[in-house]
Amino acid sequence: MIGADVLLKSLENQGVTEIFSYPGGTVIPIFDRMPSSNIRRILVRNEQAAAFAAAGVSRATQKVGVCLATSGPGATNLITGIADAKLDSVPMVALTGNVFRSLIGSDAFQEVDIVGICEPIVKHAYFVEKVEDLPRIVAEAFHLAKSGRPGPVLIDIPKCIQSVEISDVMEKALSEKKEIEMHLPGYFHEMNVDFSEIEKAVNLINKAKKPVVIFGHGVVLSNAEKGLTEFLEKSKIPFVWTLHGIGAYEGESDLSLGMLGMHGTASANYAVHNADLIVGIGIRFDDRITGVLADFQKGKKIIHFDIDPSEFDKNVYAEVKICGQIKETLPQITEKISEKISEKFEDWQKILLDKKNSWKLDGKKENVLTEISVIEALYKKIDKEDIVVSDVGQHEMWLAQRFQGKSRKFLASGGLGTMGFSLPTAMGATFSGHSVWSISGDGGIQMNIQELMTVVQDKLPVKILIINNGFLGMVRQWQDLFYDKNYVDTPLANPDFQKIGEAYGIPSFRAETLDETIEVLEKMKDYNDGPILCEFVVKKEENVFPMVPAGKNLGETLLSKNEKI
Amino acid sequence: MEKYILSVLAENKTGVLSKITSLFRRKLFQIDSLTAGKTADEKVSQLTIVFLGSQNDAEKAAGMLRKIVEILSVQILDDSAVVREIVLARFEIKSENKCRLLKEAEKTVLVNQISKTGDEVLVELIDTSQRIEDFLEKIKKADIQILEWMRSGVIAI
Repeated sequence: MIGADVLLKSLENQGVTEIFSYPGGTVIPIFDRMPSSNIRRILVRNEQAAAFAAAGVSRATQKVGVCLATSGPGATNLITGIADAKLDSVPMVALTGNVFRSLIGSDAFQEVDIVGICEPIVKHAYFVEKVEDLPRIVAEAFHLAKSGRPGPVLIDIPKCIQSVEISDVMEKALSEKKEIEMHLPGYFHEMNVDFSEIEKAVNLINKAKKPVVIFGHGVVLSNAEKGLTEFLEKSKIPFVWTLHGIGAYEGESDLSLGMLGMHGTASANYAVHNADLIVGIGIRFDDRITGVLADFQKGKKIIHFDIDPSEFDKNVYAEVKICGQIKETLPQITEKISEKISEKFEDWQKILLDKKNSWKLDGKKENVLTEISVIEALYKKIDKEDIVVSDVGQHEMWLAQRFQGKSRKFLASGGLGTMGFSLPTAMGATFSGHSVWSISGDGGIQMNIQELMTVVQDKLPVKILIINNGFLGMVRQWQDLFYDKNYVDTPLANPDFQKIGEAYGIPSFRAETLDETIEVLEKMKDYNDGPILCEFVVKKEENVFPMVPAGKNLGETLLSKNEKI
Repeated sequence: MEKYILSVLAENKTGVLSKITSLFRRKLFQIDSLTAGKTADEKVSQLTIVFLGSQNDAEKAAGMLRKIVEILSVQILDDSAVVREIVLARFEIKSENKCRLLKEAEKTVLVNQISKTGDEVLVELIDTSQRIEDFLEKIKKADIQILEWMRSGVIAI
């Protein structure tokens, strides 16, 4: 047995069943041994896609996705995908090969200090010095990746470690699946809940006249959807959600106001702007949802639920800070609040319901095919268990505003906002066993278009939608609204996407009307023999509303170019 | 701009110092001084960081440091802490007058003369940062030539 076997066995012991990878000089020993492992290999065409696909597995399931790249350029190609996982707190393990230990630091061929480069964008990184450390490192990496606040962990393995023979003692311990002792004396991820904070929270909730709940990714990561529902239904506090909180509350309610933020619904933004108490559950108060921070903070008290104590008072001051797993902390609040608290804010509920009914999302019928009509047609077709993976841009905001499914069913690149996210992430999401719909704009699809080969070679049944408006839409919108329509480098010349799909061997279509759209979506829904692709040619210039322009507060949400709330 | 002393215990592994300074750089935090050394336990290092900024920012920095996996604990020391710095300095004393002024200045700080060769005198100072800075002021005012002035940075307990 050699180091490469140790790695593969350790991964198997962690329950890894697939790796997204691309070979290279410093990882040949691992690839050489992979066929004798149970782990399925998916060969990507750019390592960036391997990183996104691994994170796609994590986002869509409860597993920790794994990617593998060679040293030098292979490793550096992982960087964007790793940073994306870090910003969205997605668990993931990234493996890289490196040059022989004796060459480290000599600017050898295909050598980079990937541990140094990734330091700010990983939860933790390991450089393997000796093969005896490898089982412990793998165990620690998975533990770190998925516990506490999840995140990506990198393991960099020099080639000599991969090919070295291991001792009989070590071989025996591995085959016996002996419990591995981890050494993480400085890592704390379980907090003892501070009960005085729970009491303070209950008091604030009992007194509030205009409370609003904002929930986000933390609820999903903590598997606390049920607890959230119980809290919302008992407290009857009006609620809104962030991009990553989509689906955490399932169902209809008069108190449900939609996604908040830069492209959130008008009633959600109105509610948060005018609230006197914000209950922030599993959110980090990032700038896409707060608008100008000083204005966000004004006139309201904040209760903040989070597992990462360094998030408290980072962006906003929270009067009450409840640290811990939301699954454990939120029920304690639910238990203590009375059923009657909503009597105090009945007027507030009425006002918000009124706003919700008068400020609906635009759905005007047009003669040409629009992005919104494609999206609405898609949502009419998909099933409850289907996963929608968005790319980044206008289509993403329209998709987010209108999604009505469960949690872990709407995947998007939130914190990093990476174009080219959708197709590779969708590849990973197919491992959930559910149908996966990948939607990209004409800009984003070209960032990882080479993965059209991966979905064919590995028969990954991604349903690929390319919404082509001939523009880098979101940037064009800003140029339209704030730069006098000075469209610099936003008009995009594009290839014939249908022909490209066919060249890759994918059944490919084009739709230019609503009837064609509905017809092709039906075809895509029924097709499960591998990937299928359709290009939708849509109206060129459309703007996403509502919108909170940069530098404004939520109360200055625009309903259209010239109309504020 | 205030100064806050962060006392950090960390696993004695390579790269920990780099992680700390990298964190400070990308958060635009400022370091007045940073010292690092071993504790009685060879597996544990101790670092003393003098943080320049508001109390809010010092607390943010402490919180973010605690997230680093190798860091075992971070404390923000209060006024009860005992704080010391060491300075090694060489002065040029060419006249009797300058020599007298130096002796005057030395009365306010814990100082030890290590050697004197011709006109050059080598001293070590061990005291609080404030007293060391006051001493430096006096030396400058007395127009004594400073050939070398090396500060170790703060340690505190």
